[in-house]
Amino acid sequence: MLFNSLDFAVFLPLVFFAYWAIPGSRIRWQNALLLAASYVFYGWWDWRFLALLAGSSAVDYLVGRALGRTQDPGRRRVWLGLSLLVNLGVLFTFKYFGFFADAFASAFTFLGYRPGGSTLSIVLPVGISFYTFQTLSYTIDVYRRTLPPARDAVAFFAFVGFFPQLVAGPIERAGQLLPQFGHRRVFSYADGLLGVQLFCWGLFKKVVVADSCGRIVDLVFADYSDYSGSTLLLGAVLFSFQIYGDFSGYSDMALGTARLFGFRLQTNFAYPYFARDIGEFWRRWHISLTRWFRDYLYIPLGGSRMGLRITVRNVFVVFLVSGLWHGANWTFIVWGLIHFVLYLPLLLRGRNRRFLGPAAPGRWWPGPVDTIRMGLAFGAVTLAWVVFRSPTLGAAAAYLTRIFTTDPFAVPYVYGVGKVQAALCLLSVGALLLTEWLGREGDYPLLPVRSCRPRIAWAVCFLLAVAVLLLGQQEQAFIYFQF
Amino acid sequence: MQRFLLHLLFFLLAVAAVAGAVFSLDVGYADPYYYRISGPPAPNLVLGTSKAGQGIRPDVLGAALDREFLNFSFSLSVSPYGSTYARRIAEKLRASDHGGVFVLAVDPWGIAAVGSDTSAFPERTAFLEQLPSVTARPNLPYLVHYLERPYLNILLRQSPAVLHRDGWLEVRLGAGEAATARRTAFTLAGYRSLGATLGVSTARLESLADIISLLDRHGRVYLVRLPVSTEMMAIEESLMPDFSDRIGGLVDRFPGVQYLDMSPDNGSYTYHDGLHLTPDSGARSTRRIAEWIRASATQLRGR
Repeated sequence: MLFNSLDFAVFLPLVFFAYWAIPGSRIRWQNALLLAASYVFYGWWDWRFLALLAGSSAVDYLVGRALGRTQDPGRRRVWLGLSLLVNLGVLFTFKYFGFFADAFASAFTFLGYRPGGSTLSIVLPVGISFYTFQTLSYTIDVYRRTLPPARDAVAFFAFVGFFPQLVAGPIERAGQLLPQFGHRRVFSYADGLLGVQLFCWGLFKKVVVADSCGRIVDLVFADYSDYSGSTLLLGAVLFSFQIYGDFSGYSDMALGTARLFGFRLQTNFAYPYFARDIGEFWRRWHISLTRWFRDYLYIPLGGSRMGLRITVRNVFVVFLVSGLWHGANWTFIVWGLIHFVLYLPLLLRGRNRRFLGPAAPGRWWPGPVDTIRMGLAFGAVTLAWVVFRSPTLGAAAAYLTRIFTTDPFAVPYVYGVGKVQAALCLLSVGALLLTEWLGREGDYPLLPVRSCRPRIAWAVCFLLAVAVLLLGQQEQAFIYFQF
Repeated sequence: MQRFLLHLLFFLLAVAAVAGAVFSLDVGYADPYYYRISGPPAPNLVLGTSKAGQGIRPDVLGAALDREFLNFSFSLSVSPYGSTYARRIAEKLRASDHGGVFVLAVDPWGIAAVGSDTSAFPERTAFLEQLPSVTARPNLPYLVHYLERPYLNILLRQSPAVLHRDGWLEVRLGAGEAATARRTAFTLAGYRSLGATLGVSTARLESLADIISLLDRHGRVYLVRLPVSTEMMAIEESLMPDFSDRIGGLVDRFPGVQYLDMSPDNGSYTYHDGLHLTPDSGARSTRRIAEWIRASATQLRGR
């Protein structure tokens, strides 16, 4: 079920009313309802994969209980190993098996052998990377004794399958989200209004910004060999906004939906395109995944405590795995490595944590130096997105080469795109940038509006909804569902 | 909670009111198909792909033949001849009528496919297959899931493609020579690569025969090969050199069915992109079709 679908427009109010209508807001009943709703939400796409979700939840619940019962380090390692084996095994089978089988087959063929058999074509369950990482964080935290094992199975299953963030994050840490299933939720007007506002803003980013950019991007990337360099550059820039609007829009809708049920999820995006270098970009883009890798991969590998060489190796591994997490394709791996290359000079010069706060705090506009820094960071990220978006490395290389070699200064032209469509796309990107720039010092871009009188906040919601209605086009799936 | 619900209700009602107001206006500015898949069954139909959708004008045909037509043509990925289109034509046909006129645009593209696996045909995933109905108005599933252009176009009443209520898609693009040449080059390149992957489809031909058979029971059936540019004609020739023979064979199976090949007049018309007729050329070609139908009908009555 998509957030931007009619199905969800019916589903959400039904669940919302049923949830708050439970007498005395009994949390066990509310958790049971959320669990049922989450499984309906997920099963709407393909009910057969519910078994995977339930199986993954069951394994980690039982492993957590077993870890709570034993103090023996050897046994604890075995239980942790079992959880890692099952979760990563399922992820590998569904997401990476075909890729690695093909890669091995190619390698053997290159060496003169011809391996027999055929590779499997496996359907990728929606959101598998998200909920696998979420449930793994629970087991690892219980193993590390930073989190007590969950006793309430319903609450735990509801935590893993929590529908607002099940299929595209944020990847919630068990220590942050799971305890909320054990506390009584109280509805507040402010939370409800913020929930609606975040949902509307996310919907605007997805339906108006991302989808209108996506239509042009699809045309440009499909026939990139027919277009001038300037058009290809425009296509790349628009893809930057498409993927941002798409993914951060989903995150905003997830945060808003969770608020309606009295839950708080972590912020997943913090104005990444106002970053002044790649280090800052990665502190602002897909924050929940970056933090996951930091805590469960980078730090266990030694982090930055074991000298520069080991630190560089660890950062390399994180970027490599980050690329691979996005999908079983060389384009994602190379995309991760490009970011490593961009990040490396900052790391070597000890300047990777130079910009921790928002750009130009307290000012309307950034200074010229900050503007240049933001432009360079955005440019680098945009060119890397070309590799991410392309179907193959060859296509990415050809696309990037053409940007600089084929009429780079011609007036951009995309066949099949009318002036109104182009203008709407650019205006929506402008509206996104302006709103986010004005709100960049808060957790949410519309925070200044929230602090106004409710009528103004509702009016903003109305304007966003009308914009979605008037400017929205056909229902399109979220890009990050495939990861 | 009550205060929140009250405010939420006002908010939703306000959004619904805007949506209702917009939908009550002319949706033809927002979508190239809506009026075709919404509204009651029709007695006289124009069928085919986008060539027919733009090139055969129901208003011109209706005025010449003194009857109302609906253009029920879509596009190559939605309505090539096949089981999907056949099922929807049967639904859109006014079953009680037996004096209808049906104009079927035929060309090599509409009866070609990649491979013979009918479940892999592109229209199997298109809206025409998925929609619960093509006669409901308003057709909510279509409005929600498939509407192509933003509703803003309805308010602005501005769009390069406007769908008329009789199903004719009026496309007005930049008529400058350079713009036309650029569009033509794109379209020809696209069709050249598409043609390299396609071959004649027995399933599509059989479906076309089924459609003719169905329509033949409800009136007169006329097959028309619309004109295209000479470059496109060359691509079509290389895709299916025996196209005329195949259609001839099909027509022979149905005694009352007539076939008009307009390709000898390719050079007399103008095109947006080498494939689709401009509105003025569409009007001229439709008048030509109407005259031919009138003549054919007279001839048939005389037999």
